[in-house]
Order: sequence, then C-alpha cells, then structure tokens
Amino acid sequence: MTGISVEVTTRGAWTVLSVQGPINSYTYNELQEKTMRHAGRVDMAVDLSGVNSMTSAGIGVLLAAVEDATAANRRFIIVAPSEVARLAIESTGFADQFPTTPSLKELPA
Amino acid sequence: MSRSPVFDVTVRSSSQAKARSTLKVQPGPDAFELYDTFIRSIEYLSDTEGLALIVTGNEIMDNLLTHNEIGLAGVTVLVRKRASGLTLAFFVDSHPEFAFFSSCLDLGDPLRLRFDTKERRWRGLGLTMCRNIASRVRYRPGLSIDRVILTFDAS
Repeated sequence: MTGISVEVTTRGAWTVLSVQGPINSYTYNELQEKTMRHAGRVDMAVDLSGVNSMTSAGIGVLLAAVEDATAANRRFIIVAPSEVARLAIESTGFADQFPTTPSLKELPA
Repeated sequence: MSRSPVFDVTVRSSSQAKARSTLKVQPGPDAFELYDTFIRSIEYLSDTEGLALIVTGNEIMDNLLTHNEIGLAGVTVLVRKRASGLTLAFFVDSHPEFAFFSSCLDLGDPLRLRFDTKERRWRGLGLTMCRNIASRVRYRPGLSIDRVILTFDAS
C-alpha cells in the first residue's frame, strides 16, 4: 500500500480516525486534512493499528491535533499503535503527550 | 536478486559473520513500501533491529526524497551487520543542499528540536527521532556521492 486511508467513524463520545498505510511526506496530507477538520471540535481518537510506517511528517500532524484538543479542552487519544507507530512516537521524546489505549473497546466513556 | 518493474532492486545477503544487503530506490510514494519490504526480507535482522531500521530509514528516505533536488536520481540503501552492530547507510548524488545541511549539523544549534510558531510545526523532529534510536547519525557530503550513515551498536 503506497497511500493511506483515513476512515472517520463515531464511537460513543469519540470521533475515531482509523488510519491504514504509511504516513510520510507523500501521504500525510489526508491525515492532516481530517485531523484539522475534527481536532479541537470533538473528542478524537486516532487508531494507528494499521500504520505500517510513520515519519516525522505524521508525528507533526498528531502533535498539532493534540495542541488543538488541549487548547479547546477536548480529549485526544491514540488507539492501538502498531509497533512502528509506537517506536516512532516514543523516539520523538513526546510520548507523554500522547495518551494511548490498547483498543477501541477500551476508550474512556 | 529480485527485480521490480519500477525499481532496481538488488538484495545480497550472507549468513556469515558479516552480512550485507543493498537496495536502490527511485523517488516516489512506492519507495517507502519497497524499503519496508526490503528490510523485512533481511533474515539476519532481529525483529527489534528491523523495527529500528524501518523507523529511522523511513525518516531519512522521507528527507532525501522529498526535500528539493536531493535524491532525484534515487537513493541507494546499504544494510550491514557485524559483531559490533548494524550500519544503515544511504547514498545519493552529491548536492549543495546536502552539504549545507551537513554543515548546519556540525554547528548543532540551528537544527535543534524547536517549534516554529509561524508555521505551527516542529522542526528537527525527524533528526531527533533518528538520534534517539540509532547510536550515531552522520551526514557526510562528498564530491560525487553524499552519505547518511546510521550506526546501531550491538547491545
């Protein structure tokens, strides 16, 4: 898969963005567009279980979404990050800014 | 050896004490998938090593392939494993922008991790990621070939 798909669904109080594919400079625009549309307006969960690679382009989008959510007193959470996504996030030193839950079933109410 | 209709791919590996694999990719979104497939196909890498090479390698490739004219002619990737550790190296045609970036790295401070309030984005994030995963990250400009070399010490 060379592109990404970002599916937007609702689960309880959460708007869930489910990302599939590689996030890099060629593909991050779709993620950016959809996070900007929702971040700070709703409680947003980003499911990264289907992400097979992620560069700083993707981390930057997620950091901006976290900031927008924080500024608007909304919740933001990462769901089930793949191993690659988890290491990419941890390697930035910003992992503490990304609350994480292991599955959609375990999203807070 | 395997070949793709889009990319020139050469993989050479050996199960001896020193193992070596190479890949040539051209710019484009397919490059990342090809690189990931390449790394996952290297049998002498452990899962942890492969994961580190995928995250750092994607970051370096993203920079080389999408920043201005660097990497236009393609990127050659080398993975080498020895008792002392792993080397992941990227080779591109020499370009003045690479030399400039490398000189900034030597100065250190201009490329520190920082938030660009004007553009609302973090700068230096990719380099920080690589430095936090690899033992060493070096940018080496040359007369005809520029190199990015990441080393991962054996634990």
